[in-house]
Amino acid sequence: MLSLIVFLPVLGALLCLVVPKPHVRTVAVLAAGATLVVSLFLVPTFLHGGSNPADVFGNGYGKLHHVERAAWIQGDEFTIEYFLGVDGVGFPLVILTTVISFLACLASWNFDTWKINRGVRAYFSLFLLLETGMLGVFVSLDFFLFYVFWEVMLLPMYFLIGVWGGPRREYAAIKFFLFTLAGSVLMLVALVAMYLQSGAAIHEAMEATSQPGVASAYRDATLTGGTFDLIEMAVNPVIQKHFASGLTRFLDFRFAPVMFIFLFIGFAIKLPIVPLHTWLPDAHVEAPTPISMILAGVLLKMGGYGFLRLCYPIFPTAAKEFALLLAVIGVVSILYGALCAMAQTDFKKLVAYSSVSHMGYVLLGLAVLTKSGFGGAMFQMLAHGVSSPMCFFLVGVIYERAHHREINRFGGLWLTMPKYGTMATIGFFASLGLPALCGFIGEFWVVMGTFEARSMFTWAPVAAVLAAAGVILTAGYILWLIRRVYLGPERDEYRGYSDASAREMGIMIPMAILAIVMGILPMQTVFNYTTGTLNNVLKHVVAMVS
Amino acid sequence: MSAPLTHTYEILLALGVLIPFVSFWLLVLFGAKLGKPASGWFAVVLGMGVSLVLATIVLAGWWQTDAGTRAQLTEDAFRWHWATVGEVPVTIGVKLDSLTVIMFFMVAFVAFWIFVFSLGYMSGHSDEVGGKSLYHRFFAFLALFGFSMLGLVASSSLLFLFIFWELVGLCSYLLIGFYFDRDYAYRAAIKAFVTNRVGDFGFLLGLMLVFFKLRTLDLDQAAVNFAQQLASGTGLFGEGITLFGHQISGMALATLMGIGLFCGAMGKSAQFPLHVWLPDAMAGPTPVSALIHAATMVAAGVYLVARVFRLMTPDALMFVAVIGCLTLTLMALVAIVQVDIKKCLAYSTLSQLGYMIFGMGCGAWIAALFHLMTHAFFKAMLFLCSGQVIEGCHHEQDMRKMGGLFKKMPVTCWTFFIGVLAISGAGVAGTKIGLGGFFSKDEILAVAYARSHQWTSYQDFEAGEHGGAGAAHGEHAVLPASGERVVRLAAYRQDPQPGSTETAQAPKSTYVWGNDDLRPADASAEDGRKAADGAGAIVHGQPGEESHAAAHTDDRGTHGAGRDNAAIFAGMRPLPKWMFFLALITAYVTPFYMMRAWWMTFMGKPRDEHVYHHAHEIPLMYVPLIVLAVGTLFASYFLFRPLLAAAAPEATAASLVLAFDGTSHAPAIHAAHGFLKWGVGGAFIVGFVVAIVIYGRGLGLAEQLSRALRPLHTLLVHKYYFDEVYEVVWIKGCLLLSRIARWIDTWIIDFIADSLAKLTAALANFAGWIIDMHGVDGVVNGISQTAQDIGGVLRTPQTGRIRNYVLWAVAAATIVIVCVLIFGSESAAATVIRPAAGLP
Repeated sequence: MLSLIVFLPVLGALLCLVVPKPHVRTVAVLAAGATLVVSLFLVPTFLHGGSNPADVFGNGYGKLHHVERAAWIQGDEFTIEYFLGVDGVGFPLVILTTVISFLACLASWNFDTWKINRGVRAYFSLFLLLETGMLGVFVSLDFFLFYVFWEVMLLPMYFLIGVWGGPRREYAAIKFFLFTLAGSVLMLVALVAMYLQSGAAIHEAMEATSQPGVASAYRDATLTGGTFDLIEMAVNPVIQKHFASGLTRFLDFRFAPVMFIFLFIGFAIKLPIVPLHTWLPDAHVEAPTPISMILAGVLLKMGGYGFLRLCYPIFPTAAKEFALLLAVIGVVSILYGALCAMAQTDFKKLVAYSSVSHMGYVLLGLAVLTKSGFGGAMFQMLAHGVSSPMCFFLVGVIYERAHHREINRFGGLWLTMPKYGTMATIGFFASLGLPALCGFIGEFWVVMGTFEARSMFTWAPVAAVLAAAGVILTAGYILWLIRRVYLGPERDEYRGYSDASAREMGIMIPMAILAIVMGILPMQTVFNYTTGTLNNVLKHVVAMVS
Repeated sequence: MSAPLTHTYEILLALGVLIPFVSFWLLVLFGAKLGKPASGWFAVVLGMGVSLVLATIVLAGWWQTDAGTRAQLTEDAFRWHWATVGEVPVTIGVKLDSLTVIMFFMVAFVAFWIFVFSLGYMSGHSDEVGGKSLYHRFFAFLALFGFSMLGLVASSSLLFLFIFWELVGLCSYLLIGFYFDRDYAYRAAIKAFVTNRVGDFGFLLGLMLVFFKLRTLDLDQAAVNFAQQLASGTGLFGEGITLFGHQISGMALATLMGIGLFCGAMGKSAQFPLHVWLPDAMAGPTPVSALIHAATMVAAGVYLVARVFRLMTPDALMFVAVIGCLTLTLMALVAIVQVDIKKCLAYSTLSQLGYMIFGMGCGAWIAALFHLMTHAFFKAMLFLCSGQVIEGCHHEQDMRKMGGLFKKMPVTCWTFFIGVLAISGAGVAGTKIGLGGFFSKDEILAVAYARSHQWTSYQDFEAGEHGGAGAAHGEHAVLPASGERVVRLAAYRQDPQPGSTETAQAPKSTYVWGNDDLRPADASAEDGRKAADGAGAIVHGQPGEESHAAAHTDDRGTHGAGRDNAAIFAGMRPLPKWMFFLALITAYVTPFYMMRAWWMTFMGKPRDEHVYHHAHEIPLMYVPLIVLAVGTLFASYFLFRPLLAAAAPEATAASLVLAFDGTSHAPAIHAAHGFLKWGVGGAFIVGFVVAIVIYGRGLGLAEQLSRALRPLHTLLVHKYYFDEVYEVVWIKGCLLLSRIARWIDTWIIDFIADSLAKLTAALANFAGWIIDMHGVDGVVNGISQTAQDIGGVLRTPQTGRIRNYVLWAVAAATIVIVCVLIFGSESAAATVIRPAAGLP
């Protein structure tokens, strides 16, 4: 099932290369649509546990569904596995990816009318390859495989921005590429080091007990050497003890903190955090609209997902050690991102900076190690995954008509384009964090969770108060934006612009509905699926820390 | 009560909330097709009419239900599990008690008539924005507002109260900015929303403490947990305010929580210093001003304080009282100099909201809500009158250009006059004859007087004769406000300065009366670190089941309940006298500015022929005026006061603070009334006379006066320069900060990133050169060539350099990996790699 989901887009990509040019976009949309439909077949598995939401994933971290596992690269001392599976963290993100990819694919429908409209085959096949990369990241549980998908996603993105982007596309693409690559390099180091150290741990244990291997902590298997299994590294006490031990060194530093920081930087660049965020506004501004949607809706979530899959379960002790640092970065991202957004005059750049601010809540929520913090961080990822593509699409709609994004040159668009204006109101208010829309839930949960962490960290209330103050700034810049673009008297230069077309409404309405439904029924839409796994991750982290 | 009724009222109220929501969506989707005026009628009937019918049914039924059954219904109310925040479940349901039933009815009633009025108001060209009719959008927003406001009133959970609270704010934003093609309208809308968000930020802090310490967000459960923590001196009462682990104030966390929650009310009810948005909010269509910015939404703050009264400590309430007192005084003074008819009403609204908040702060729970109700009627009516005037005079709002309109608009003139009488508190002193404001404002002042001047007498009296307290809540306890009063007591005290002699004498016991949920506290649980030293609580039961003799413990060994009360009272601070006097003086100012407004508009000679010529009335608009005027005249005193008196025990049970109502026998109170009866009762006459003397013969005398008092006049005209100061400090400050942030982004962070990139590129070129020289890069070249072929279908980005970046990255990674192998993990290298590689 998961393989099908992951590789359907690749199939589509291959087809795109051979079908006649006028049909390429049809094939691409069908491929993305098929992926979406197939991914929806995952839902029943998770609904099944609906009567007792907390137990959807049973007890303990590592309760997986739809597992596919086979040896992939067999060396003398190591095995790289083709190991896919989803749990409460991966599943919602898979659905998010397929949904947003499908909508972004629809948003690419008018490719022919773009300024740069050559290479339709290349565009759509790269687009679908990108989707495979993203899906692969969310479902692969073997570190090596994870890394491969991580890199697979990188290159198509580079070309999609660098070829079909705006005037400064080369700069933006290189910047995106280099920032991410810097993170990848650190991740690669961690990959190798973690593999070696897990091997060392297993060998020590084997010598100590004179057994031929170490039993896996969560499945029927025996370990005889290092592993790339992300779940095993997190739950196997032998490996965990070795990783956490102060005697385990990396270049004279304690192993766990260094690895945590390496992985953290790799993922934090994606999230992004201040001060590693400057690739984001440039990439967004230059990227074509659908790519911005993907970038904001899915790519940024890989950072948060990485924290939840690698950093926290595998290096829980370091997570606690660095809690203050992470919380400070989170709070700074929230406030600094909001302030930067306020100063922007480019519509798209403003939305991009708002992403920085919103993702700060994700980091803060994770940093404080509380249930509501984790839940809020996860929800915030998904909520942002819905609201920010919507905002970028809203920018795209008007950019296609006006061919500029200068906020101060707009005005009165709600009168000119009433349907579009209504959608914009929903999208931006969701981003603003208005209660009953999706943006509120994540922020509220995170702020509450942060305050609650007071029993663990004395600084927590201060962080919570500052994060809560972020809502004022957010209201400020979003309302100011709405005022400058949508309100005010109608302007002559925009008079006669056609209102949002059926296709455009078809793209915005699903996101608007999702934003509203997630805000009103957070438990049925998200928490029922995620809480079990998140609590298990947290339980594991807390158990390891104490 | 029979079983079928168990959930009936809740369901009816829930339907009353949801039907406007459904009609909102229907209007959004099909409103344009329905057109004008069908979509308006749709909103009137389905958006609010049905809710009003349901509210009336519930009110009638509730009114006939006895207290015991009501309590049972409240308790049995259904709660739906909505979500879980961490470990705290959040439930949603209808908070079914008298307060909700009354407020629900009031909101639905006033809203319905304002919806009807809107049909008339919008029938002309008032629905046009930038030349396009947005008729259905206006009514859609109204329906959304109806949903949010009714939801706010009915919500059983603090979180949902907050959610509806924000939705109400959204509606306010959308409706203030309805004429969004006009600069001042959307400015006002943003100002309203952001100012409210500042208040909500405080609300959120309060919620954090509720969540963190009380571990629930349900209103009832929070009150129970609060009382328990008070009894045991733990949780909110177990510590002071700390920052990074250091105590910075001895004030109990409970007080901070109360103040936080009240901050929300400060935003919504536009209390000083967050009042700045309300006058600007008059940029919205006049029905909106009447509905949202006079009658319902702005009163939500008062409702919130009433709801969380049980979570308030005396210190928090003192804060409430101070804010209310400042607001009512400062804003009344500004109202004197306003010339815009709506602005004048707006400032009067601010002042009256100040009265309500002040009343809440004094502990005059019933009186404050009573004032809220009466105010909702007469102020909605006054605004609608002004709307009639404005619409009739072709959007002229300047009262200096009006005058003499009584001939052209008789209905408006006299309904407005009834409103003026009501807000001024007109009535015959010493009797029960008077208009709403006469009773409600007078009662607030009486309580303030008692709290500030007669405090010792109360304390003595209650100490001796505490027994009368419970009867206060019976339904018979409904006496005229100017009659006798009683203090019902439940006192709590906390000394902020441990170590003072007073502290030593402060009672260290906890009193728990007639409530099975609460166990007697362990008096030995005192902790030296405790800031809440000396806390005491009285929790009383429902009317009719007073059981004063229930368990209580006392570490001093005395058992007379009266004595205990005296001890608790001894520590409670009286209200500062200046607060009472400010409130009293303002009671003289109110009639003055209201009579001034009425006279300038309707009496005298027409000052602008053009305006006068056009003036006319529309029946669809004056029918609601008459209904509201009748409501103002009759319903308020006979209906609301008794209802609220019945609501009080349910909603304030277990509260820590004083709630005053109506039946004390304390001699001191009688004495107080001898003075107040005439001091307040006659205020309206004085105010009217002064206004007529000054404005009776046109504006000449007023202009002379304003010249004579130039500095004061200027200060008031500029509203104490709040807008200007906020503009500089907050808005400019924020923008400055944001520019700094952008500068940092561009010139520091990006500069570093770009420089690193350039450096890397240079190194990569160098490395590429070396490797090229050695001719090992065929493979790499091949890969990058393939990559380029894909992208290079069109243009090759940064030709040639990509290859170098990839190359450099791979090289860097290789170096690091080699480092790892050699130094990093000695053991791993020893056990895995070296044997594998055949190394020693």
